Amino acid sequence: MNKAVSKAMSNDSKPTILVVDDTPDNVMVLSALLRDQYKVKVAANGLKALELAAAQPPDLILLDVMMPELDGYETCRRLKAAPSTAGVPVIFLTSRTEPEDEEFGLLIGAADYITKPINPADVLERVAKQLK
Amino acid sequence: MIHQTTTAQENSELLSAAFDATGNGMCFIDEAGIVVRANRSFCDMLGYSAGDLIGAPWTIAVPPDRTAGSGFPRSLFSDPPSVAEEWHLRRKDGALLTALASIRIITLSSGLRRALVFLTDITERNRLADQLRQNLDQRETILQSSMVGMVFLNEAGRPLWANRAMYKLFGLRQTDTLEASLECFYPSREAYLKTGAAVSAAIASGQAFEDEFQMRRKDGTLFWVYLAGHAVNPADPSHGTLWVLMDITKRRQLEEDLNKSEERYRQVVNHVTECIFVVQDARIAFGNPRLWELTGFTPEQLATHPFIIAIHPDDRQFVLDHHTRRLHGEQVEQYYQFRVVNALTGNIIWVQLAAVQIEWEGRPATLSFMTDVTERKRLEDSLRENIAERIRLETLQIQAELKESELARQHAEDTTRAKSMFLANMSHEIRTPMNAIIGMTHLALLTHLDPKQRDYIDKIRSAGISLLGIINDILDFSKIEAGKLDMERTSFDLDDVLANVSAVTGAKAHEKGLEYRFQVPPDIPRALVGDPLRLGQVLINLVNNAIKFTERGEVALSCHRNDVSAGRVQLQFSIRDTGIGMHPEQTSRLFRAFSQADGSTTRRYGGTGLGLSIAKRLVELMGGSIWLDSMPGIGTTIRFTAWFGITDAQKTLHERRHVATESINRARPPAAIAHRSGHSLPAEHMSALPVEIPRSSVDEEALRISRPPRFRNIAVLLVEDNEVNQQIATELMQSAGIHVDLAENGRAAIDILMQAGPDRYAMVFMDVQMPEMDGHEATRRLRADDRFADLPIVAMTAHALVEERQRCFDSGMNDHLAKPVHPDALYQSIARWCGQPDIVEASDAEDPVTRTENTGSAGIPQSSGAVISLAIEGLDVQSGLMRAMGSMDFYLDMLKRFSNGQRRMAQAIHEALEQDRKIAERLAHSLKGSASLLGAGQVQQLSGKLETDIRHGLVPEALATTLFQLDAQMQRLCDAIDDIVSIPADNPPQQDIDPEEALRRLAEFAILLEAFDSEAIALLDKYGAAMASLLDAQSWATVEQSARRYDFDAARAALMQAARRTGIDAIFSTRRET
Repeated sequence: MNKAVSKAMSNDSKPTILVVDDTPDNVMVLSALLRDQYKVKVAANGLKALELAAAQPPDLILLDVMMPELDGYETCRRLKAAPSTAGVPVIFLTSRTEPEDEEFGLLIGAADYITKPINPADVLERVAKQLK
Repeated sequence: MIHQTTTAQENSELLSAAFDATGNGMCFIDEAGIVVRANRSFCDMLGYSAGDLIGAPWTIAVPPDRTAGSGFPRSLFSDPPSVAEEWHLRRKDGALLTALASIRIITLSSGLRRALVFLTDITERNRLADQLRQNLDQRETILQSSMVGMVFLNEAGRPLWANRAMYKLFGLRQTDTLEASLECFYPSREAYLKTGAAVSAAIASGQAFEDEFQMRRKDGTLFWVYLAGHAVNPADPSHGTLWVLMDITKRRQLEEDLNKSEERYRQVVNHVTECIFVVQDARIAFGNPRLWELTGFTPEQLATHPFIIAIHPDDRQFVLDHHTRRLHGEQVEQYYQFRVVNALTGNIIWVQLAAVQIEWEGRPATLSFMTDVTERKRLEDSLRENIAERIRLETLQIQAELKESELARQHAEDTTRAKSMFLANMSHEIRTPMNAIIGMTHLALLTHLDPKQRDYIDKIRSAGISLLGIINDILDFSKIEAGKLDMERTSFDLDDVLANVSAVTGAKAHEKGLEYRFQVPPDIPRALVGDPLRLGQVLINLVNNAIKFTERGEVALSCHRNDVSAGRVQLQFSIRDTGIGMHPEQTSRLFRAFSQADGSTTRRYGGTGLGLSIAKRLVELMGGSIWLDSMPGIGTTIRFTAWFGITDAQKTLHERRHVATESINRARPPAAIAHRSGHSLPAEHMSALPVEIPRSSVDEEALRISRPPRFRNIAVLLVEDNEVNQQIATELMQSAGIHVDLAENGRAAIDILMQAGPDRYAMVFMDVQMPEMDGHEATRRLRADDRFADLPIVAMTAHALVEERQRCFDSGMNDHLAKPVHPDALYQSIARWCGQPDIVEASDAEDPVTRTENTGSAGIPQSSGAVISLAIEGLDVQSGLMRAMGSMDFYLDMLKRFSNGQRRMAQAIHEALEQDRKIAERLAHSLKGSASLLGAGQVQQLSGKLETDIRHGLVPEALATTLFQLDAQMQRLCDAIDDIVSIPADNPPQQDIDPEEALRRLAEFAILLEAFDSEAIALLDKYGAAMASLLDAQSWATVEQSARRYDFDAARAALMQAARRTGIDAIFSTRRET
């Protein structure tokens, strides 16, 4: 997709993705990856994510697992517990690679689970899949 | 008368002769009582002579106490006894005489009367009669008083006489008359008849009879009697029978008791399962049935043969030995075992024997108890065999285990060696690429870069340095774990270590606005012996930690002397901070590997969690300990002790002051990485002087890009096989004006040096690991040649281990530089060994791009004067330019179109694959063509492969990798192209932006921040400078930093605050409304 086209498109017509990660570089990479096709909102921690999601539920949440204060699992649980955000698909994005972690993530309501380091095409594909 | 007498005389003569001849005593006594005549017998009887008696009164022989009338007639004539009477007379010699006297009165013709007395001596007869009477009395007494009952029965069996004892036995009184029949004395009629018959039979046959049986007393009680008797005259039973009878009840009782007792013993002895026997004179004197049963011998056999015949031939000597020793009174085992051979069956029986010495029938003997232990023995043997077998197996197992453990130990040693080797290799393998990363980024930073590129490369470099730190931590930790961490013992100056600590850590403290103080009193010895690098490592680690966890307040490092003894000193270092502190339960986990105070800390502050663990081990290796006090919210004080040697070369305070003053006067921030910098910041100055590190060095710290110094007329030989390393070192040195020649291995280096001679090169940098000939060997060979004895040779190696450094020294090298080589270290090393004092501080004015161009090392084609450094990874610019007919503009245009039109080509191919593989193939083919046109070799290759694979019908899954690689490569390439080609279009020079535009952007920025929209960062990237121009630098820095951390709340708050201060806050509300 060409930049001019992406620029021409109205921000509002794009689906909104909330990227939650405490590592700025990760946020930067993800937003760079997604910004052409999606409106990207960012939260540096779980609490902020909950706050933003509650105020205006995004179309999808990319959620890091290991974060200070409120980790991704707990964040996800709370998102799923709140009626306004329960329907928002959550994709975990984490460097944890144990199958149990993945299983656990899916158990608590995640739609998908992507391990780092990310494969950009894979991320785009999975995100798109959830938004279909 | 005479005549008459003649005849008469004759008569008289005859009578006289008869008178005298008769044996009876005779005498004539006249009426006067005078003896007129006595015959010889009379005289003899009385012991008188005839003369004595004739004429004497007859009473001469009457004892004086006996007078006539008392046993004697008063008058023989008037009262003559009619019958003979006993006269007790006394002989002349005094002896008494009993005589039977008879008197006859004779009247003579004259009328005279004469008494004729006849005396018969009955003394002897009387004596015998008395004696008989006495005897009879005695016998009667004896019979009567005998304990034995006696009875005399007549022929008919009726009792004629019984003694007192007999009465007593039957409970009769002496006055009781014995019944005619004796039946009442028997227990029953049958017993009476039976005994009677037996007695009759015996007596009839002239035999004596004796028996024991029960009889009945008068009172009816029964008692045992012994009866014995016989006929008085065996030939004639009519004379009756005589019986003796004894009460034998007691004896019978005793016998019965004895019998019973004996019976009991017999029962026991006969029925015990043990053999009981007595050996006397080597023969079995007594044995119980069990003995005969067990041995198979008869009692007779064993009584007549030595007992030893029953014993197994092999055991005889053994048993005899025991037996003999026991007989001799020696102490022998109470129990012992041997074999017996059963005489009947031939079976061998194991027995256990216990024996004691006894007296048997008055003579010594051995009483033995013998038990059949064959079964027990068998069990024992089998048990023993089992045990032996088990022991054998266990022994085997233990041996196997020992062998295994030996193998394991060897394996462990091998593993440790392998681990050590692995560490060395890891160290090498990791450092080599790290060297490339850090070195290349360093070089890249010296080239012309646009801000975005510089930012990226800065970040790579920062990440590289941080990664190197982590790797160092892990390697250190691994070495400690493997016991491979060696501590150096070398003389050092504590001040140098502290100066280095302050240099490395001070910047960060300053950056955070912390007060940072060193307190080292003058009495602390400075010239120490130990491992300065390790001490520095611990201190830096602890101080860095303190700084990391402290947001405000201070961090203070102090030192005091704990103990001094025998040339050693124990120092205690304290690092106190006013940071976040910890709970006790957190502190307890701290020194464990991979552990931080809490899991989330790792996320917030980063780190491997190895630092304190390493510090602890290092401190322990320095003979000390480490501990900490901490209060949440108050701060932490961590202390450790360490022992050091003290050298004699203690500098005087004065000298130190002098040096210090000098140092401070020319002080500049110490180098980022710990090397001896020559700076000495003594404690008395440090304590008074919070370490102030100029801001310029803060940013640089580890990341600072040193401007190369200028060296003149120096040629260096670089011996290095790795091309990347060659390039880095060469360019670093060339940029400092040094002439560099290359040798690709040790052999080549020797060839070059031998040809060039000792004066051509000021020094040699020698890689250690090289093909053909390694650095050690090359150095040894060079040193063997006197000409090169003093040539400075400095090792450059990724082996950072202490022992590796030692090996370098051992092989004759002068110094050691660890890879990745830090430029400063490299320059310092050159300065040190080439004796060139003029290390020129880099001129900040000098344009790095210019310099880069001067050195001509960046390989950037200079085309048509465009100041565009076109170096894009994956793009062969030269080849592309050639295809663009040398027109950079055209080439750039092509690139731009390529980026715009084909950036997402991989995605398009991927999508096409699912619908129409032909289209996908065509797209790949088309991309390959474009790429080859531009000189994008990798894209060309990947898309070519994709084209082929699609044509060959590979499923989408099998194509994914190539697609992904292609996409990644395309993204990288297009990003790079965009960055270069789009800058002029998208990034108009920011200083040209008018304030109105800047305000608009700022308002837009605020809105994006508020919406947590990531576009805020894109905006920041583009218009950062413009927006910054509206605010003061400090405020803008806070805004930008917060935003880049994606802390949009903080960024927006700072922005608003700054805007209010600047008075431009109005724009936000209005802008938003519009």
